[in-house]
Amino acid sequence: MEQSTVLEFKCPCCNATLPFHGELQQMKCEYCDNVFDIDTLRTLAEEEIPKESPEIGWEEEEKETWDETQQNALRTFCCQACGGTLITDDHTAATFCPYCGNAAILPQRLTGGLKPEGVIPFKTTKEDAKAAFLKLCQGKPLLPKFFTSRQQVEKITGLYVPFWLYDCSADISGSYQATRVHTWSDRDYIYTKTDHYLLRRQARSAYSGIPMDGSSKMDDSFMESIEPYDYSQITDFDMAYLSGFLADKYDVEAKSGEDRIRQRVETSLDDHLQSTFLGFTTVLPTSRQVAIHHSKAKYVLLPVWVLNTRYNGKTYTFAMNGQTGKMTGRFPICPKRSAAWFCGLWAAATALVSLVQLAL
Amino acid sequence: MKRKFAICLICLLLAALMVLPVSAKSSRIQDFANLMTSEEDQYLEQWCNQFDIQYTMDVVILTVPNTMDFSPQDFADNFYENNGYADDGLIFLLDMGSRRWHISTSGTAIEALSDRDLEKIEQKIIPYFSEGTYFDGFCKFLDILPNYLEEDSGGNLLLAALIGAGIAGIVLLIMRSSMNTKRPQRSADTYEIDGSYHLNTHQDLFLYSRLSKQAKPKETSSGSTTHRSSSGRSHGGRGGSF
Repeated sequence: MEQSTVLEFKCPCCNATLPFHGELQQMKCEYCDNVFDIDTLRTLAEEEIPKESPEIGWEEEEKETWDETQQNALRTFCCQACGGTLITDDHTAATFCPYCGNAAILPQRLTGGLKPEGVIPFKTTKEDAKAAFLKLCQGKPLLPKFFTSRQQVEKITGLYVPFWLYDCSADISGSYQATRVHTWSDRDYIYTKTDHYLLRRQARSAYSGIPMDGSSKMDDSFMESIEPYDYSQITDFDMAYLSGFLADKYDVEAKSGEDRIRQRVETSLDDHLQSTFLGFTTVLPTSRQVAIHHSKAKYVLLPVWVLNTRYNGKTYTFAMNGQTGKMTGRFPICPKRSAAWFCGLWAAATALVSLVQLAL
Repeated sequence: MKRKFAICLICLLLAALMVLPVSAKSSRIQDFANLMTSEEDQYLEQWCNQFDIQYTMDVVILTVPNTMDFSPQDFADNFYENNGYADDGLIFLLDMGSRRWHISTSGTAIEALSDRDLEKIEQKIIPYFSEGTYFDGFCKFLDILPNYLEEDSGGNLLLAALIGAGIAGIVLLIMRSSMNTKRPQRSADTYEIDGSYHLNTHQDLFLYSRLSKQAKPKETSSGSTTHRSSSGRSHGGRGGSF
């Protein structure tokens, strides 16, 4: 029987060329004696070709920029030390930079920039933020003393952080080499039977509102730690919301967030497929690709309470979700306290172990 | 009447004596080859009692003129098993007929006296027997035996300090880890639109199967080689000539 395409089949087990066995009407390997169905082999051969992950297909939308009246009603402040730029309304003044604590912060004219499409106003007060901060500091004996001083805590600032919210749909298609292992034993031997499988999967899903912070000055991982925000509370932007608060001017383009968004979507889809791999002992991907398309990004301002403290030349950040109250923080470790605790614990532990030794 | 009464009394006494609980265990010093005086035997007997109290082990000393067609190992094993001694203990056999000696260990004594330990004991004790000073040899044996039975215990301050440092380090690491609660999000699950997930292809193709087998390893105890006596019990031990 001649084949129309010149396609040579290799044995999946030992890689030898497979001849057709007339009697069995299947392909039989001369070396390992395994028998294969032609359709299975054909499917296997198609899987071998690796494909490139395609680019995310962006849908470009027209974004609004500030108009004349808005530009006049807004003020920007620029920090001389770290270069951070903040926007607020006419009535609010910034006395120090919330990023580096520096007081050399000068007002400037607002020139251009995108207008946010939506905003979640602050739902928590500064008192809430201060209380939450102090609570987080409790039970941390390694913290340097001055950290919870009133003067320090007072510096908590309400900041609107610019975010890009991504909507997209994604497809995953992959093939996997899987094994199922059975072991049993009798008096003299341990037996291991390994069944080899080829798994093919294809799925799709859609996502809405994956956030990515649009400010290079805010650590992305910190902002991810205070997720999620309740988007049902997004309202149209109004300058009145800025009163008493500062807003960060965005400086990260929507396209820059692509890699991280792709990462999160891929993990999500991989997790979905993981649940279809039950019963297999090992699963290894031979080819897997995720295509992301129909994606668009929305520019919004989300509320965050921020406190940045400098200690020993490094900046330590505390951030609290201004809507839900979820908080995260990185705290400095006082080396003296650390050393004191280690010595104390060491002495106590050594005494305890010696007692146990004597008792045994 | 008096004579009959006396005979009855004697019979009763004899009967009582027979019914008296006899110790099922034989004496620990069995000097059938008469290498030592009865005072020396008693002295060693006392010493072995001490061993029982201190280590809960039966240390038995057996001397015979010959081992009646049995190998010294079999003779020692069987004697120990059939004379009511404890599961944990050892027997030291001297066969004067073939001038062979054998130590057979049982129960916890198997692991306590490793092959290395028995080698060292041999080097120290057997010269006594070669020279014919049997009592001295057994005394020396009982003298050095505790050194091998006792594990090197107690007072490893260095070890305690190391473990202490390890524990302190772990606790401190835990304390330090709570100083940074930053956690990047793992996936986009929270933002998945409900009902948008569809699994379109779900195909499992069977390819081939492979069977392999592996011979099971035989069990050996570390440090002490063991053999089984005719009754099936395990013993450790060592033997030689003197």
